[in-house]
Amino acid sequence: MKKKKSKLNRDRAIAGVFFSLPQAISLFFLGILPICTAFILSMFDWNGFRAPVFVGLDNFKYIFGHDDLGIAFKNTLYYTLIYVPLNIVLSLLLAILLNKAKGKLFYRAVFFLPQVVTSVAIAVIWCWIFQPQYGILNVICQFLGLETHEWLRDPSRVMPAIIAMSVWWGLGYNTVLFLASLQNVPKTYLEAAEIDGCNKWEQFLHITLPMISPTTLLVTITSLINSFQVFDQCYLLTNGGPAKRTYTMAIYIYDTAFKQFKLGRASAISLIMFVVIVIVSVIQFIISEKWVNYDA
Amino acid sequence: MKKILTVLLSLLMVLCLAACGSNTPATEDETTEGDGKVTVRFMVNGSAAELALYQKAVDAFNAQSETTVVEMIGDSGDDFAAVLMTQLSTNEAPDVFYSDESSFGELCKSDVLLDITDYLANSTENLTKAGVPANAIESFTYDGGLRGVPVDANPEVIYFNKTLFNELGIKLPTEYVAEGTWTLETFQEVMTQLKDAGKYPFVWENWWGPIYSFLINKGDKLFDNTTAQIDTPRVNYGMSFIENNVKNGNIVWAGTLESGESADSLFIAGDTGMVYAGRWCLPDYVDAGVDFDTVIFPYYETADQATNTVCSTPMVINSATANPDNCWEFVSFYCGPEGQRVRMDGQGNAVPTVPGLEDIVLTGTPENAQAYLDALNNGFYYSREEMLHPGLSDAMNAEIEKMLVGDQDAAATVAAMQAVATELLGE
Repeated sequence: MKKKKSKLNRDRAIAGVFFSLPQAISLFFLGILPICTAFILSMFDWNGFRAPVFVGLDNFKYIFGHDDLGIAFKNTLYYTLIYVPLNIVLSLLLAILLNKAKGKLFYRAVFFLPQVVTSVAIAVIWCWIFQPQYGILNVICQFLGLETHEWLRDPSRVMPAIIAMSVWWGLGYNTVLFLASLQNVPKTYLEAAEIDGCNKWEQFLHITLPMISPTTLLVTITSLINSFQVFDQCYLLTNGGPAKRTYTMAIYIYDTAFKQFKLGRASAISLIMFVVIVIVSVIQFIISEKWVNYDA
Repeated sequence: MKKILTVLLSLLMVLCLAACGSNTPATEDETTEGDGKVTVRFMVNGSAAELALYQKAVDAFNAQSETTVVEMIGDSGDDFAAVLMTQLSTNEAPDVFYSDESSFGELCKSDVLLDITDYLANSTENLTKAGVPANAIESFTYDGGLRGVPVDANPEVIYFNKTLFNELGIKLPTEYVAEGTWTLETFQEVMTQLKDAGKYPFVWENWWGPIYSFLINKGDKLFDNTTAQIDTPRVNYGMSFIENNVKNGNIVWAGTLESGESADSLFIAGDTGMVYAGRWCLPDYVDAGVDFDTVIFPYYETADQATNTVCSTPMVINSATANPDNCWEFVSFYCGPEGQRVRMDGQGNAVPTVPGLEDIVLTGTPENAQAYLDALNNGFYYSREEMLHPGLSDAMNAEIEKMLVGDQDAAATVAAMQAVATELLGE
């Protein structure tokens, strides 16, 4: 019996390996290997047409000695510090509303729809929304007696405009995650709290929020990582302009690699961004031990 | 049963991976067809209509060549340089291809492009040295060797709406040119008249061609190998001209246009008096029934200072090709009189660079089509320095964009451009 069981387990293990092999191979060749290659390439001067030339840390010296890194990092930080909290708060709010609504399935699909539309189509739509003369945003502003603006050409308003577009675009995904998490909060806990005299706000604060904290952590980490990598919106709407006001780290990498043909330098910038994202994620995980409740 | 299924699935995965294997590069024997002709692979990018025109030239070549047959590979995407990069790194690059201005310099530096100096110097039929403009030769020469020849050229000229000018009672630019008074000052006066009439006077695009046209006279250079020559009185004058006229609304920067608008659409709609563009616009303007004419770009003070942007794509030969002679035979035909005539059959949308084909430009619209030829003769090409330093143009444009949004004035912009160019040229 014991022999049969261990043979069965071995067969299952072998089958498991075979079935996970395609994913493991693709993860290695399309994920891990390119990342390792980028690390190595960061120490080479390579234009993509000839063999790479080893330059040591010259790429890093150049990057840290020029303004573009500071400009790109500042813009990315600006975007992140506004986009991430706004996105989390709004998606949680929306999830709470949907949790009580009838026709959850329909609303979930509607709010998730922007996620499945390509970035190019989204950019075209928002170009028209932001259009100074005919765009619906300025029409609404006029209707409400507010000042109209050239949203994508005004250096002081272009990044908030891009953030607004990003929040709209990314709202659905996080809302669905929060909604699933809210639905897993046991009603008995809330009923018990109500019996004990807690009002709705206290129930939310002391029961719901802690119970959905693992999801909140996931949403925070993924939103942060995505915001550091923001590219599509800035590239399609403004190409990093006007006057580099939306010139983010991802656009800096793209320009360096494909417009200046400095793939080694672009890899070095990617490495710097990777380190920043890892540090931020590690800090998040450390802090999360204080507020994330896995007991549920 | 489960074991059989597992084995079958694994086999399927292995077969799929094997199917993704790359080809080995062709050897000279493998490029020879059954009839003894050598196959030359030619890659080019463009729209469907453009690719059809290029194919016509290829077909014409194939019909008359006894030694070579060309196989054209058309790419209609926006990532031609990236495709080329991939192919070069896997030894699958074509024998002959178009090289755009952004990658030409890097291709030269990487020894990818064949030195065709001797081929051109010794050529007695199709494309000869006399058929290649001197500025093009200068622009496409690297390290003492010519690396490409222009497939044709597209000099930019000022298009103006004749109907609009006549309705508003504004003197036509062609009249000023005839009088020899088509200066930047005159240009400003004309723009002011159009603005006062409620029209966009002149829509201007912020890239190297339209920028430098304001900043230099014929023969001037902004760069000289590793030196930047930007901070000069002439450049400062031109930059102030741009700044003042953008501020007062005479020049409408295309970057401020609303979604759905472009210089072309405004010109066709009769909302703008003048645009600065190449002959590529001609078919659209003719189809739209616009009553227009053309003149050269206004000059600083005297007519001999006139200079215009000339956009031109070089055709190049891969230095790793196994059949350089056959490649030159094709390039010489394609860029020579016969190839250019086939490609510009009918109206065309470019200007031939070889002599003897002026009738293509001068026949039909517009009335002053001579402006295209004048612009080609006095024109400046994309500089070799900018081709060899791909980030240079963008860095310069970024400084100008700061001026256009009000972050700095013209003098500071010129100084910044000088500084940035000096740094990048020194790398």
